[in-house]
Order: sequence, then C-alpha cells, then structure tokens
Amino acid sequence: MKSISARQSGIIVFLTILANKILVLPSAMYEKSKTDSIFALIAIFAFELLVLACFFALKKAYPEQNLKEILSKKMGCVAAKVIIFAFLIFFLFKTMLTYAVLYVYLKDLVYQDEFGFLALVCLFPVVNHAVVCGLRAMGRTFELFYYIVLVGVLFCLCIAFFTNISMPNFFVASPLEIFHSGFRHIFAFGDYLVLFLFIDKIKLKKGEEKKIFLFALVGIILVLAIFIIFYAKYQVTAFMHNNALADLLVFSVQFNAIGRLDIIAMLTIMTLGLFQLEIFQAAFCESFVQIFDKLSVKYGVIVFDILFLVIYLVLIKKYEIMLSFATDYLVYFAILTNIVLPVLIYVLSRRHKKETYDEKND
Amino acid sequence: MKKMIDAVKKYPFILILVLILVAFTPYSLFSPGQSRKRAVVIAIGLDKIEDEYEISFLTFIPSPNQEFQQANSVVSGKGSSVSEAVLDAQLTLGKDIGLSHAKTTVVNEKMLEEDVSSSLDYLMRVVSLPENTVFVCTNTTAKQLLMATNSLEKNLGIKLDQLVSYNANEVYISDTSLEAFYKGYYSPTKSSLIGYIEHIKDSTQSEQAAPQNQSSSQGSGDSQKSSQTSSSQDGQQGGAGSSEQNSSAGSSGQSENEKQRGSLQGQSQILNKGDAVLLRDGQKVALLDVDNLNSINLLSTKRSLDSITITDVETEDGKNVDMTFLVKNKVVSVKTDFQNNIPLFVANINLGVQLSEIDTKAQKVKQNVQNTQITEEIAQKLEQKIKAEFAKVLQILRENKADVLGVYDHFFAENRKEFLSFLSSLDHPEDFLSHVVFMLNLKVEQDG
Repeated sequence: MKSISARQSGIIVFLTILANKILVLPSAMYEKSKTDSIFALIAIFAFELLVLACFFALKKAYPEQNLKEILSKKMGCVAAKVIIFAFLIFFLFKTMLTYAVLYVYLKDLVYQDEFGFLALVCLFPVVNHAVVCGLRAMGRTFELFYYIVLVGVLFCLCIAFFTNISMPNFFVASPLEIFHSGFRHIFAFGDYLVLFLFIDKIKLKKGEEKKIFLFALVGIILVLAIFIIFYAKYQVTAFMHNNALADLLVFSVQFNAIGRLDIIAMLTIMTLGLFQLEIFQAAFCESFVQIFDKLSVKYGVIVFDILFLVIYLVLIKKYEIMLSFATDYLVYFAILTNIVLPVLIYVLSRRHKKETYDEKND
Repeated sequence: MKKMIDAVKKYPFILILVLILVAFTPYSLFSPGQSRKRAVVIAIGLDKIEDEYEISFLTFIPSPNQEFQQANSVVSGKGSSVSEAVLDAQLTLGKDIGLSHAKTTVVNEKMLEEDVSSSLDYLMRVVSLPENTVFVCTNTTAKQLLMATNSLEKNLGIKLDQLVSYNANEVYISDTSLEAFYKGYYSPTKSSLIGYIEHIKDSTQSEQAAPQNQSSSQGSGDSQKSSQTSSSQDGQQGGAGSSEQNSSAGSSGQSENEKQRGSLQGQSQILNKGDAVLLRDGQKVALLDVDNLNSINLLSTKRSLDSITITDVETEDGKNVDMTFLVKNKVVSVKTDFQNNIPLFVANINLGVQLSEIDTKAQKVKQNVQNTQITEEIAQKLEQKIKAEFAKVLQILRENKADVLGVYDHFFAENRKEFLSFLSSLDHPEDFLSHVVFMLNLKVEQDG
C-alpha cells in the first residue's frame, strides 16, 4: 500500500485547517459576534486539537486497519458503512463549499463575469488527476508547495502591518452570540477529519505525532492571525469584506504606488483552493472505496463528478445558496461529523485499549 | 499510431488536455481583446442634479504611443438611479466598465445632502468599486472636476488621487478613502471626514469656448479628446496651491444623447485648500478648513503640516511683531477618566515648535530675531491660540454631534463600563460629546 509520511500528513492537516476559513468566514462570523468571533474560533480549535489527539490514540490502537475495518470490528459492517457514508456526504459538501468560496473570490477579483463552465473545465481535470494518482503523489506535491503557500500567507499578513491597523475592541458580544456564531459556521471546521479516512495510509513512527501537531498549530496560528489582523484593519467594516486574506493586501492604499500586490494573495489562494479540493475529493473517493470495496478510486472520481455537477450546478447553482445551505442545514450534519463521530471513535479506541489490557492481564 | 493510442490509454488525462486545447484555442484566438469589451475606469464622479443621478467615468484608453502619455476621456450617463446611470454610461461607451483600477471617487455637495452611502451601495456591491479609492467632494459637479483633472494630469502630471493623498497624509492625518468613510459611517459615532476639492469654473471663458483642437480615434473610434495649454499659479491661502488649466472634453459619440451632454470646455481651476467635509450618517454637516483640521490633529500622535501665527509679540527692543511657528515635534498622550460621573478627556501635549517667520510690520528690529528663544510670553500666546482654535472645532463637533477625535473609542477602550452607563444615562447618547470635559495640558517648547 502506498503510504504517506508524518510530514506529508501534517501538511495535509495544515492545508485543511486553512480551508474555508481565510476568505469569507472572518466577515461571516463578524456579523454575528463581532471581534469576539475569535473566542468561538479558539474554542473550536481547542476541540479540534483534542480530536487530533483521539486520532493518534486510534492510530496507536489500530496501526494497520482502515476506518471501515476498525468500525466493523466494534459495530458491525452496516453501522461502519453508515458512518463512512456520513463522511462521504460531509466531504462532498465540503468540496462544494470550498469550490463556491474559491469561485466567488476569483469572480470578484479576476473575471468579474460568471465563468462557471471555465472554472470547472480548468479545475476538475487537475483535481481528478491528482486523486487518481493517489495520496502519495498528492502528499509529495503538497510538500513541494508547502513553503510557497506559507510564505504567501505570511506575506499577506505582513503587508497589513504597513497600513492603518489598531487593536480591535474585544468582549463586545454576549456569550450566546459567540456560541451562535461558532455553531452557525461549524461546517467550515472539521476538515482535518480526512485523517480518519486515511488512517491506514499514514506511516507514523513513534514520536512523530508531534510533527503533525506542529503543522496543525501552525495552521491554527495562521488562521487566528488572519482573523485578528483582519478585524484590526477593518473593524466595523469587517462584514463588508468577503475575501479576508486577499483584502489585507488589496486595500493597502500605500502599496498602490508600486503596483498591485494582490497577485500574491491570488496565487496563494488559488494554490490553497486547488489543494484543498484535491484533499476533499480524495477523502470522498476513499469513503466511496471503503463503502463499495469492489470498486476502484476511478469510479469514485466519476461518481463524485456526476454528483457535483448535478447537485451544485443544477440544484444549488449559486454561491449564496451554498453558503446559506451550509449555515442553515449542514450545521446539524457537521455536529454529527465534527463532534459525535470523533467522540464515538475515541470511545472505541479506549474500549480497545481496555480490552487489550485485559487480554494481556488474563 | 498504436504507440499514441497506448499512451492515451495509459494516461487518459492527455486526452482531456487535448480536448481542452481544442475547445479553448479557437475561442481564445477569435475572442476580441479585453480592452474592446471593457473600459478601464480610473476615477468616478457621482452627481445628483435635481432628482436625477449622473455618473461620470474617467476612463483610460489603451493605445500604442511613444510619449508614455496616457489617453483618458470622461464619459457620463444619467438615470433615475445609480444603476440606470451606469447602464446609460455603458451604452455611451459601448463597453462594460471595470472599476478595479478606480482610484478616486468624487461626489458633488448635493449628493451629501442625504445619506451618500445609499447611492454608493450599487457601486460597491454590484460593480465592485474598490474601497481604497480616495473619496472626495466637490462644490460644482463631479463631472466637471473629472474633466479638469483629466487636463491637469495631461499637462502637469498631477493626479487627483495624489493630491488628496497628500492632504490625507499631511493635513487630515487620516485616511480619506471610501473604506475610511465607511469605517466612520458604521462606527457608533457615525462620523467621518472626506476630502474637499474646490472646482472654479471661469464663466467668461467657458461660455465662449469652442470645441478644441485635435481629435483622435481609439478602439472603436468613438472617443474624441481635446486639450489646451495649462499653467499653474501659487500663493493660495494657507500655503495651498492651485492649478489653472483647461478642462478636457467629455465623452463624445455620434448619438444625439451624447451631443446633448456636450463637452465642457473652458478655463477652470482646481483649488486644493486642504479642506475637508465632516459627515454624519453619510450627510454633510460642516466644512472644515485647515485650521480646524490642525486642531483635530492636535490629539493625533502624527505630526501635521501645522503652523501657528501669533500677533503682537513684544521683542526685547519693545517692538510689536507677528511670529509664525512651525510644529516640528509632538508628543501626545491621552487619558480618559470619570470624576463624579463626569467624563474627563485629558490630553497631555508637548509641542516642539520652531520660529519660521517674523512679520516686523515695516519696523526695524535691531536684534537677531531668528535666534529668538521662546519666552514665557510667546509660549503663553501659543497655548492660548491653540486652545482657542481647539475650542472652535470642538464647538463645531459638538453642534453636529460628530466625533472624529476618537473620544468614543478612547472611553470605550479605557473606561468601558462607566462610559456605557454614562451613555445610557443620557437622553440623547449621540450628543455625548457635549457632556465630555476636555482638558488640554499643553507644553510648548523650542524644538531641538
């Protein structure tokens, strides 16, 4: 089996942590809980780090098995497939949301007009090809581009310091508003769950968990930095800016004189978006293969493309509908996948540990 | 051939790549250039004339030339709403508009009689007007100002956005972009400052002016431009400069509609005195001059182009002279407090000033006055003058319930609980500035 290293897994976690959080989320959360959205963000990230620890516990308990095999042992094949099906749906809609956010960003800044067909023709063959090539090829590509993406994001953040920024006022929203803000946007989180689906493909030596934690921390710190600097820069008008990372650059009046630096944000966001789409589609295909174990990834890719075209282009159609669908309905589904399933998986790993311990003692 | 088929079988994505090339190559080859479909707008003017909106675009016309000169032209459209006016302008232009490169947004004073943000809404949301455009107001019409600007840029190389950016950095000490306007508009105090550029049209010459000089065709051949020589003059009040120049022609086309709009010709001046418009709720409430702005900037840690003139200072030989000092250094610390439920705004300001000019009033002063040290009398006079100017501007701000001094923010950050309860105790919380006691602790010293 083609496996990926701890470093590559860490980079996947890093890329997924940035997914759907650096463009529209800061302004969407600001609308509900102003700058205190940061607290909702910190709470969710703290929980995500705990879930990451659960993943390592599970990996330690079942070093070679995939998620379906682990779940089948404890819950039976049907229940395992139902859970994996939930992941399949989760990542299908994740891909749609990521695509929608990326599409609107490019439409606003580059194309101005609708270019749906062009975007699909340009993006999906590349994404499909990456998924068919496999996780190892993807991992290596991510490794190659990791520092480029990191420098791109850091550059955008640094430029913002050359403009008028002032410390935003915190503690302006009630705890209920903060909770509501986090709850409504919970679907934008939990992207690192891809690790559970690739659990058997990750080669983890003793002590290498720290590496993955480190990448996760870098991702979390960057997202928090983007939120804080974005709020510090725009303050009361934060709700008007839908492309947070790019807007840190675009509206730097001082830099108009030396040309448009937003090309850097554009390249960074496009690269990130492409990689995130690849990861989510790979997670979909992995779920597909685990449910239909007789079929290969290629079938997964074809099914994904058909479902995407039918659901997104025919039923959802518009970015706004996708966004309201994610905040109104997919929220409840995300509670299941982001909170219930990781907790369930953790319980299973604990039980397994206990059983192993009992067996040893017997 | 078999090898090729095998390669395609092995790597089916080659086929997809070829299909993409086949599908898009003819499309790319036969589609017209972007400049034929989209006009690059570098400045926007928005006017309200009676109940009708008129939008004017200063558009950049890409053309090959060896002079590195940019060919611009002003095109306008009218309508009962901004969106209709934009559509009308697009019809005139025969192109869609692209606002990504717009650096200046001009509105006339009439636009500011009601909430201007509602008029800007369409431009911001639908046609993606960037928020970093410089936002200015003018006394006549935005269209006329853009025309005058076009010529100013052509003849003197001065751009309107640069002019206002200079004001923003040296006079206003704050950003005067559309973004800054919105920041003020959506803040609790709902107050903001925007630049003000006066446009003076010489009626005697403009009435007689005939369509001018050269015309050139660009792209689809519907653009006509004309220009005359320009001159500049100095010596405006408060050290501000002005440029006298000829306005360039507006849009011209073949349609009757276009002819009706006509092209404004004639002498016109752009007068930059460094004034700014004070807005509350998106409406103009006052026009602030440089002295007012300097007083506002007194509380800012940034140094502004500030000069202070005091009169009737007695020299050692008993002569009365006027002295002008330049503020070279400034250290400001602001503290807020509550005493007996009264909000106190305390500003400790250390000013380092330098004597820049002495008006001896045609008297012979027999001493080296350039080395004059700041005496107690001078320091006292300077303090009195600064405080008097500050009191004036504070009165304007209080009358208009507009806080551009950042008083609300200071209290909110430093005494939030007391300040919020103080606001709730007021019948009109928006009038909180009238209840705040200001204490200016000024210390004027010789710089260096």
